[in-house]
Amino acid sequence: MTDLRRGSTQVLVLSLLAEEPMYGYRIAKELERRSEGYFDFKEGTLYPLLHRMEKEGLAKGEWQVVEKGPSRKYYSVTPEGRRVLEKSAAEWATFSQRLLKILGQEAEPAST
Amino acid sequence: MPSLEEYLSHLAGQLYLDTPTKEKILREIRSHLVESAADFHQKGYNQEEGMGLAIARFGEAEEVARMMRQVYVESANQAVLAALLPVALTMAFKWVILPFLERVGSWQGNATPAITISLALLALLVPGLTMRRWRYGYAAWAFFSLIAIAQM
Repeated sequence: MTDLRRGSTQVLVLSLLAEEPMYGYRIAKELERRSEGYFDFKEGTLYPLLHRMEKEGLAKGEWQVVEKGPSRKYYSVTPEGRRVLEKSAAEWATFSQRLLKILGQEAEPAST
Repeated sequence: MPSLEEYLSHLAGQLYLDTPTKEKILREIRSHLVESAADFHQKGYNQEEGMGLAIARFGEAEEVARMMRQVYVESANQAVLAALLPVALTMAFKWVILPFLERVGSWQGNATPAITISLALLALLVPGLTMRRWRYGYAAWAFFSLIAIAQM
């Protein structure tokens, strides 16, 4: 289960960034809040992922000065990142539907 | 539990990356830890406890550094490939194209293969040390092109 959660981190981060640009700490807090603690991971592991996404052109980082406190690096999703998000989200939806079907707990039948 | 500076210093020592990249990473992590510690402070912990908890939530410096190295080592590999390409072309120029021109025409070149080989080997080492990625590739390309032209 840990591997599943780890594998889904990129699509989760992309989905947050698709809503609005966010910095690392905010992303960690949002993931924790929205999943009610389920996606609770060491926050430091988020940064290698963000840097990889930036290198692969899925996200773009930009430093912004904050009046009170240290500067923050805000990440926003790129057009390529949106394409990857759409594809990954569809794959995860199919995966979860198929899994629930096998387990006999499907809410609705899989479309494909 | 280490202080912020101790943690960042330990992390920096584990990154094995070039200085600008290292500074960029540490700046971002510092920002995260300061904000996280401030949140814990607001919840009633003193500053030292807050930073300790922030660091604990962030994770072991070794693990973060290991994952970050993986991201940037791929770039270093790209840099080696970028350097390899102009070097390989220069070698081909020296040992394939020039001999062919000498054989076909009456051209007489001033070949200094020992120097070219040394420079080529040195060029292959540099990206692994500096991790300047594609910028080095372009510089190497220009450098070896100039050498090749100068030897004509």
